[in-house]
Amino acid sequence: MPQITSSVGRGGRNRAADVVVVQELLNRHLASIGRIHPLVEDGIVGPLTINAIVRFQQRVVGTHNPDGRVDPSGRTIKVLNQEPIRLTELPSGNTDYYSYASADEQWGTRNTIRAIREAAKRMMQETSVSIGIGHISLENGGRFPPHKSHRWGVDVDVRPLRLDGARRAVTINNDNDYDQTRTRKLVRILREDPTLDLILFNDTNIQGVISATGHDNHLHVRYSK
Amino acid sequence: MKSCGRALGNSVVVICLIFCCSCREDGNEPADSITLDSSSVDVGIEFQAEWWSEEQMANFDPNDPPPKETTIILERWEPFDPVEDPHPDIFDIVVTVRNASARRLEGLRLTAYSRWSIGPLEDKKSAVWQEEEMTSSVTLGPIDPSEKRAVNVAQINIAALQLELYENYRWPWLFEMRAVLYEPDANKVLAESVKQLPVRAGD
Repeated sequence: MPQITSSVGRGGRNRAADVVVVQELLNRHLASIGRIHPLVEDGIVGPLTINAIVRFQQRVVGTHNPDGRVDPSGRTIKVLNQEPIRLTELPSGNTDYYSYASADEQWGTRNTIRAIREAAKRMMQETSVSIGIGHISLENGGRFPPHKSHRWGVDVDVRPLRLDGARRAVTINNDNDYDQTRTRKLVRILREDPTLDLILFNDTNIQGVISATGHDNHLHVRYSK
Repeated sequence: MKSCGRALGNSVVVICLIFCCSCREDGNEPADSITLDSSSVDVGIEFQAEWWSEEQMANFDPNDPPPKETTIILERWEPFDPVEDPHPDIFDIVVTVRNASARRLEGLRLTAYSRWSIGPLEDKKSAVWQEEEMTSSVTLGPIDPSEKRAVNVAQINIAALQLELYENYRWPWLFEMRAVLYEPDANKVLAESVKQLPVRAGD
């Protein structure tokens, strides 16, 4: 695992050998930091290198106030040494579910895609309805405006079920359209997956969900990996 | 035109009629008797945008979305359902002025002001109001009795602002528009209306 001996970036000591290490690592994460062209691995810290560090801290590390510097024992170097995020696209043309977000917004970890597809398949087998799947993550992960999360391919938005089976949104306050019974079944199936982390949803009459602002018309399903 | 049919939430519509300016700015009494009063006009504010129709949403292909051609009145901006929760990139601010008097209104001046409450993406409660800016000031043409005049006072590119703020993990949590109708000759505020647009961030 490549390491550095002193700080690199804005205000750093910027030893050439350390700078090269950081530039090489940043180039492995190009997609995540939104760069098309790789950095020149010349051991010199300039605006492009600092900008790439800042973007990596913002988009991948999740730092609110990025300092543009990589320290030998800091979090940035640890995340730089992790494998770049590799996500899998939710397959289209499946009758167990329908998408209400575009294909480029439905990338998840292998586990997430497996888990949500299995849940959809079971729902189809047990209730004969397809579930609606919305945003997951962008192809290369990272920030996904206007979401706070959905950055790592582990968050999936799912519509609650409707009584009429239409491929439309429904809120829990709409007694005429909201199918609480089938939605409860969906939650039970989702919870049976051992990698499920949490479900945010405002129908607290359903066991196993956590109420959160804005979750009247979708279940926010998060997996642990 | 249709409304998106949602409760206003913490949006507040206040139409308050102000009676405070019976004197000129220089302190002198107006030369002529006041012929208009606060009951002469109603002022309202709408946030309008283009969104998909019910029919379009019922047969929606997210990979080939149809054009947004249905005008809606936006009561809040929220992105929880990418198709059915209106969250347009751009919206218009339309101020309506209704002549509730029996005489023709002429020479009224409409001035609109706007401001944003901006704060951290993760902490709505820390948002603070930015300085209010004048977005428009126009003299209205004659308005006949019972006529309702709609004036498009501004177009807001909310998507551009969001992207700019999002880069620094910040968010525009609330937008506020204030419209003031003056009778310039009498140096008098006839009506004022304030409307807010809550802006939600996705989870």
